Amino acid sequence: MRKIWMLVITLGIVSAWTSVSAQVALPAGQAPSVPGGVAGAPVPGQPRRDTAAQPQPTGTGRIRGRVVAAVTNGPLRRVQMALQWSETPAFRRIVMTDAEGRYEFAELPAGKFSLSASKPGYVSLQYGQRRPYEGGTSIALNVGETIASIDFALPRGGVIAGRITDEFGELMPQVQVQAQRFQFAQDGQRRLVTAGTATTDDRGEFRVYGLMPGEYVINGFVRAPTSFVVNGLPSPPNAMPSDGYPPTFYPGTANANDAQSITIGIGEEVNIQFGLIAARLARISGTVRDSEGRPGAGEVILLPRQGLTATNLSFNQLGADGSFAINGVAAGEYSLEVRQILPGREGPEAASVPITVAGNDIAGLRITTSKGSLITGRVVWDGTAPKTSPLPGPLRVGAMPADPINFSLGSGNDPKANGELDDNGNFQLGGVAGRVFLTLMTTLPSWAVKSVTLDGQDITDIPLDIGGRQSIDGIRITMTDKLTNVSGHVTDAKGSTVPQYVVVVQPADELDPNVVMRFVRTVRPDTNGRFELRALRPGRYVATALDSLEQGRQASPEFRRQLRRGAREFSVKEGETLSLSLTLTTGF
Amino acid sequence: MKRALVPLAAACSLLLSLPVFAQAPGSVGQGTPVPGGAIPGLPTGAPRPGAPPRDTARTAVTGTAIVRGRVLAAEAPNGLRRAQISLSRVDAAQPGQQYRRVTTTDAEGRFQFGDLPAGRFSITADKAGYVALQYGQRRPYEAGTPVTLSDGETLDRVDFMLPRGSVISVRVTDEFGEPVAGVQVQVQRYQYGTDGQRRLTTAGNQTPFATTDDRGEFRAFGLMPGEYVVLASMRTLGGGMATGSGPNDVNEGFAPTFYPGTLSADQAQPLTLGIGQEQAIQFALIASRLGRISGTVVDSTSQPAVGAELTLITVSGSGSSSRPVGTVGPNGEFTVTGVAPGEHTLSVNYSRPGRSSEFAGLPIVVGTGDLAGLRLTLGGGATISGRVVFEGNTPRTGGGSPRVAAQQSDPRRAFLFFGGSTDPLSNGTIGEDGSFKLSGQTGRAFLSVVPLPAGWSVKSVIHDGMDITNVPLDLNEAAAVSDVRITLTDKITTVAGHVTDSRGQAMTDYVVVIQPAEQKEAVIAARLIRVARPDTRGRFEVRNVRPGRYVATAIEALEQGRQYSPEFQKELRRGAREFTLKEGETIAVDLRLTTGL
Repeated sequence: MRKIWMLVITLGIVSAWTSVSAQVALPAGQAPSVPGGVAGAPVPGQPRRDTAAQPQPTGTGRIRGRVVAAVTNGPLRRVQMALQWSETPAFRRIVMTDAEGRYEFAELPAGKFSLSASKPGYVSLQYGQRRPYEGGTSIALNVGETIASIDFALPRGGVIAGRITDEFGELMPQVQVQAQRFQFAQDGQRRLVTAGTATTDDRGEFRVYGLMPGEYVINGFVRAPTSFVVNGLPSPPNAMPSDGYPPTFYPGTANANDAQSITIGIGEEVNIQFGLIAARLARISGTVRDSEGRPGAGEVILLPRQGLTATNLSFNQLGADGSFAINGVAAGEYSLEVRQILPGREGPEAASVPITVAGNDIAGLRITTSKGSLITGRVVWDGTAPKTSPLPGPLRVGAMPADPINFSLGSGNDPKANGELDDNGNFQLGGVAGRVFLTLMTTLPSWAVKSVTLDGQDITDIPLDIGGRQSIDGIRITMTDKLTNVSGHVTDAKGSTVPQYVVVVQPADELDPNVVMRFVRTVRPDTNGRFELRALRPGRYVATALDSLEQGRQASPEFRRQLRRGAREFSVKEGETLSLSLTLTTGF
Repeated sequence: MKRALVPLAAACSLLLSLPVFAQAPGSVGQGTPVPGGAIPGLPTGAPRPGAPPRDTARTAVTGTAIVRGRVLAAEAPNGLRRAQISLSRVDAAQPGQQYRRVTTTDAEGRFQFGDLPAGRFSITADKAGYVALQYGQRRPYEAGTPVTLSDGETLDRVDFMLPRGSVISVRVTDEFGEPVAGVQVQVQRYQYGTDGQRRLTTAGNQTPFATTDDRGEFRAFGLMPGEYVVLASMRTLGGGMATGSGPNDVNEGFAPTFYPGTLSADQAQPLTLGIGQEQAIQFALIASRLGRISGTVVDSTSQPAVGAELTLITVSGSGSSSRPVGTVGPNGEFTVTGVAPGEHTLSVNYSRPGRSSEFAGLPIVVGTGDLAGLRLTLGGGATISGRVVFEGNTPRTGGGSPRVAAQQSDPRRAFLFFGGSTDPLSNGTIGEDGSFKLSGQTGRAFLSVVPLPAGWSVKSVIHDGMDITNVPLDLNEAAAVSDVRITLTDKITTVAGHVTDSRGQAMTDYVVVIQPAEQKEAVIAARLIRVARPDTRGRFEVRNVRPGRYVATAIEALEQGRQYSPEFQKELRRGAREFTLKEGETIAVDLRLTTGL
């Protein structure tokens, strides 16, 4: 389960739905061991107790309310209510609604909470969410306060149902169906993200349900048989069928850009039928060597660069001589990830190769894995706040990939140099490759990264390009407990206070597209109509208040440019608390 | 609900629907059963440094034989296009002889494999919505027969008639009759495990985690004729995320419910399906309070295991689901909420840098109340070490990297993954000098080498001067089991023969069961029992039977797994013929059919 979960983490803006569908599609009984992790994701199974785990905070506050079905207003029972406390990601509580649709969370500490309601077949909503793919607002709870009437009206999810036939018009069972939508990724590009999946039954019928209102493209494909290794060799070309059913997009095209999108209203059901197009599938083959020229050992993972789900990635073993073959590959763009598990050799090795498949076979690929770089340095604490983490585990430095889609399955995952801080704040982080940002991975609510320097140069927001370097020494990460706090209200053109809005904060100056998203923040008001941004990095920003924002749209450079027009500029210094009054900008 | 055999009322018609095959020489032995099932965390791929040397220059096996055939729909004799045909060699006795290919049928349902080496192959035809069949399979849940090829031979008419799969269409509601979406539905059937017990296993190759749609509907299709029970369960709270809880949070949910509405598998109402039949059922999930389990976890030095990771493992049918349920808190205390009624295993994993990891697995039964005061003491498990000795000159090439593995003797443990080691220095990897170390082991387990290099078999596993090849080691008591000597031999045994009926006529279709001459504990017998079906000339052949005294019985048909039943083994002895097999020996055992079994 973790394997896929960790893959999804690095995709940047991936809706929670994608990650859920990716998780659940894994076969039961899979061994939970993860030989290669993802850079940036905490390494499971390595907790250390130098930061004492805190007991679940409690208090005397209460939040309660009721969940009904939108339109009918009938109570909804067994709705899963998930409450999260903004102070710490470790605080998560779940209750179910009763037969009258009522729920209550008791014994809550004071603070801000986000709350979501979900029930299969219905659209999951965050509290305060008014539109599909919009963020929620937070609930501000004082000490001992009871907030009632935190109510939800859940719309019935949309349904895309239909039938799938083969090229002869015969109904096809066991076809994987995906409903996908375009969403902005961190780099501002619109990419297909899977919002729902289904499999056709023996009558060729499918139902993708619980969809948010919106525009979707639908595709169907048949999973090609996975390649195998016999006698220590990957299957030869004649061992596997060379054709099959790669994704066909409704109403009948192999190209996602030619797909006809389907618009679903609230609770609407649309029926479609289309035929899959049989096509030749490519075979990708080659050999893997490690950094010392020895045959590789481990596996090659083929990941589509768009619309990744658990059903469309493939794991392929390396042969005994380091050779590999991946069968049944549809045309498209992929990332070929190699994970080397080399017992007895020094640390894991990895490689990541972008690859475009046009339909023809690709043979003779030569991939050399690399150990990556060993990064050493020290974390310095500029302040006196307690270094308590809400999550158990060691304090740990990690490397976040700078590029929006970079799976880097092997990097930062050397168990002997996993970034843990020793008593003096020194760390060693092995297996780092590509372009990365270094940061303290452990959540410490009272602390923020002040600067990252290398040889006296500030590289806090400059991706560290590892290149071919075997080691990089002398990284200094300075943490500060003097956090900024920017909060305020929003008024409309007539000066009246607006209760519902979204504030987008972006750097005042245009920055490198790979860096700018580190500074872009969005925030919605709490139940008092007030927004609050904590630990914004000191600097010059512009803030824009909008009526609403589709999640991820702030990653679009054009959109951010438009936002600058109605924006208010402000500067915030280290440790400063700032109050802003913003005027709602309309027309977006 | 325990029955001796799935009634095969449908089997006769299935039998009729299958074609009569062309004659060809050859035979097959069923693969050696592997009690204990999957081996967690077994890395796959290339040889490790430190493993016995092997040649790395490999070439793909090729040959001059051809197999051709057609796949037809049983209900109407038309060709089925894009059926998937899988062929794999069953008699690879030499390194490099393993062979596997997949193809699909054309628009007329025809398929062809060319350039095949000589040998014996099993062939399977599969098409979504139809029942997948092995070549030679006449009944549901029966093994197929092999196809034998000589050099240059072309074997035509390897035909399949696939019966349409049966369908169970399920509608799941709540206690008020409202459809429930997102319910996981599993169709299960009783099958013998290697311990001789019949228990529910997941039927067919159902999509894991398939759930009801927004109308509460689900269709299980492509089912073999047979008897099934249907289990509906709500996916766990939190979608796999660790859930927190307040001391008094209320979590109402559903208990895993068998059709027509019972918590007990014994009270489940079985559904009997004929060929291509569809049955529609509707039932309500049983509403239930979700339980809370709490207690403390201490490490092997009795210190609170603060931060250890908790996982709840739930076995259902022949699969299991695990969900992380948080970490152990400050005083070693933990609370897990939202636990559905039923049997689970709470597994704890505690890893600290510079120290070997500790773990524990505690089986729990959750009813309607809470389970409090659980106390788990972690341990590092047993470490097994020793040496693997290769007796013989056959090269040790091909087929993955052999490792020493501990296989759980209790088949129920096969889906519970905890403990073990991923460290190459202690995960059973066989070193240059044959030495191995396997740490973090628990339970009762047999030691073996997995996968065995082609052409090799386990001759003996010796510990403390005792042959423990087929004696499960109790790893719960021992901290270390050292000086284990595993001897592999390339002297492979063969048992082959013919079967005649009561009138002395040679038979072409039967099943031979070979079992130890003396009745043994079920899980041990399971390691020695072998099942064979004839090739199309009527000859059976089993390789790699461990030297010893056996009895062999020829019967008309065998439901897969029934050979593990001790009662059935006893019945089989009545008509059995005894024989003794020495190391490397090839013997002929001709048998007369025993009827009435």
